[in-house]
Amino acid sequence: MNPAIAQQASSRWRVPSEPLSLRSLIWRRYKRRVPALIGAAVLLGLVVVAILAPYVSGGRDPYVSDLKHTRSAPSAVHPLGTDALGRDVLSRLVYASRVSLSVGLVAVSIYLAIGLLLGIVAGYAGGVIDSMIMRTADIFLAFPSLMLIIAIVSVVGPSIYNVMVVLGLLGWPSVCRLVRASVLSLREQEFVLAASCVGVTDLRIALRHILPNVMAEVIVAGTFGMANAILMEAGLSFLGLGVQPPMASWGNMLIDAQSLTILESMPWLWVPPGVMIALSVLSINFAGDGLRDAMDPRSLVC
Amino acid sequence: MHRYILRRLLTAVPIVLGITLMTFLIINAAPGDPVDLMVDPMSGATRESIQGRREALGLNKPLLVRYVLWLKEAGQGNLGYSLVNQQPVLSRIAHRLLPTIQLTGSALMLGILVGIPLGVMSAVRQHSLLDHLATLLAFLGVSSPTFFLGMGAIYLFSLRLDLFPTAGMQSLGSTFSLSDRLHHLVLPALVLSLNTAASLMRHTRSCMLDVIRQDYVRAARAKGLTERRVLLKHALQNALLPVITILGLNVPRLFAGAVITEQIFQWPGIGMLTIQAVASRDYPVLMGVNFFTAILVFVGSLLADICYSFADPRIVYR
Repeated sequence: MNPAIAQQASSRWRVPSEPLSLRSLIWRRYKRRVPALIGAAVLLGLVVVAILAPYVSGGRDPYVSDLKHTRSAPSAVHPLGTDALGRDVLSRLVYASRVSLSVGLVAVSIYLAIGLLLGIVAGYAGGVIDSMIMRTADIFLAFPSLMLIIAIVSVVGPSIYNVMVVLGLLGWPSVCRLVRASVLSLREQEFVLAASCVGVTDLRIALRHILPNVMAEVIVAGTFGMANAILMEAGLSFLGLGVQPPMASWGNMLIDAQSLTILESMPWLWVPPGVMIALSVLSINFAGDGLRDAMDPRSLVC
Repeated sequence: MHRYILRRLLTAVPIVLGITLMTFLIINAAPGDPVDLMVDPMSGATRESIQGRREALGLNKPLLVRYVLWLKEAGQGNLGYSLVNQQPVLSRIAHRLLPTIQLTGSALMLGILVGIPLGVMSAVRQHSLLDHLATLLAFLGVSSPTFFLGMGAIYLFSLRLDLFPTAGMQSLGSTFSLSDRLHHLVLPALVLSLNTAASLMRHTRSCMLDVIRQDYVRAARAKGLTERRVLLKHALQNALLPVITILGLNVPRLFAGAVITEQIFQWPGIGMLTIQAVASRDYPVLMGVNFFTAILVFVGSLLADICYSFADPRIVYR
C-alpha cells in the first residue's frame, strides 16, 4: 500500500503502529475522563501529604499538648487552632491521613485476598464447596456491618490494628460473590475448555487463565472498598472504638463536636476533619468510577 | 415459582442457624462470665462455691451443648438478660425498636422518593446540566460520612437557622403530639436518607441507561406511545428490577447508618442501645441487638427475593 495513504489513514483513525498493551489502552481511556483524573490527582496528593506529614505540618508535633491554650482559634502559630487538650489541629489532621490511608489499604488487601481465593474456589470447584462458601458469605452479609464490627471490636478491644484486621475479615463476602459470578461465566469460555483439553491442570487454569481476567473487577471493587474502609474507620473512631487518642484519626477528632457549644462556636475543630474524610472518599470514588468505566468494553468514551 | 420459593426457604434454614452460631460464638468470646458478675467481691465466696454455681448454671458443659441450649432458649424468645439492669434482652430491644423503625422507615421512603426520580431524570437527560449536577450530588452523598453530615445539618438548620430541634424524639416534658414528633424526625431522617438516595440515584441512572438503549423501548416509541408512557411503563418497570435487589441489599447498611445517626441526634433507638451496650460492656444486649437485626434483615431479603421472583418471570434459582 502507498505509505503516504497509510500514514494519512492511520493519523485520522488513530491506529497505532504497534499493538497496544491492555494497560496502556486502559490508561489512554482513563486519561479522557476528567473527573477520574481529578480524583486520581487529589488521591495522589493525599498520599504525598501522608508520607511527608512532618513537612506538611510544618514540624509541629501532633502529640504535644499546650494546656495553656486549649481550644484556641486559628492563629499564626496554630493555623487551624488547637483542640481540647491544646494539641495543634493542623498537624493532627495531617498525621491522621496516615492512619486512614493505611487502615484502608491494609483492610482492603486482606479482604481482597480472602475474597479472591474463596471466590475462585467457589466458582471453579462448584458443588458442595460452592454452596458452603456462599452460605457462609450470606451469613456474614445478613449482619449490618457496622453493628457487627462494633460488637467484635468491643470484644477484642479498640486499637488501630484490631480495626484493620476486623474490617479485613468482614469485608470478603461481597468480593467473593463478585469473583464467583465472574468465574462462573469465564469457566464456560472456549479458552478454558481448550486449556483443559490440552491437559492443563485445574490449578494452573485457575491461576493463569481465570485469575487475570477476574482482576479487573477485583481492582475496581478494591478501590470502592478502600473508600468504604476509610468511612468505617472514621465512624468507629468517632464512636470511640477505633483509633484511640493520642493517635490522631479524622474520626476521633470529631468526637469533641458532639457538644453543641463546640459545634456552634468552634468550627475549626470539626469542619477540617470532616472535609478531609469527604475529600479522600470522594476522590477515591471518582478515580474508581473512572477506572471501572475505562475497563468496561461497552462504555462509549474511547 | 413455588419450587423456587421452597428452595429459597430451604437454603434459609442453614443461614439462620449460621447467624445463631456466629452470635453465640461472639458472646462466648467476650471476657468475663455471668457468674463473675453475680458474685459480690466482698462476700468472701470461696472458689468451690463459685465453681458449684457455674456447674449449677450449666456453664461447665462443652461449647456445643451450651450452643444447643442457647438455641432452644433463643427460639422461645429468651435472648438472655442485660448485664446492666437484669432486664430480659428482648424487652430492652422491644422498647427501642419502634423509634428505629420510624427513623429507618422514613429514611428509606425519602431515599426512594428522591433517588429514583432523580435517577430516571438523569438517565433521560444524559450529559445535561441536571445530569452532571445530580451525579455530583450523588457522589457527595455517598462519600460524606454520616456523622459529619449530621453535625453540619445540626449546625446549619438547628443552631444557625433555628428551624429544627437539635436532638431527641420529642420536646422535653410534653405529651405526644404528631407535629412535634414529625418536627424532630425531619433532620435525622434527612441525614440518614442521603446515603440511600445517592446510591439509589446512581443505580437507577445506570440501569435506566441500559434499558433505554434496548430494542423494545425503541419499538414502543415507534408504536407511537407518548414518551411518558414509554419511560414509565416500559423502561422504568424493567429498570427497577435490579434496583430492587440493590435496595434489598442496602437495608443492612441503613441499620448500620442508623447507629451513628442515632448517636448524633440522641434518638432512642436500637442504634443508641448498641452504643450504650458497648460503653457498659453489656455483651448479651450487644449480641442480642445484632442477632435481632440480622434475622430481621435476612427475613426482609428473603421476602424481597420472593417478591422479585414474582416480578421477573425470567429468573430461575441459580
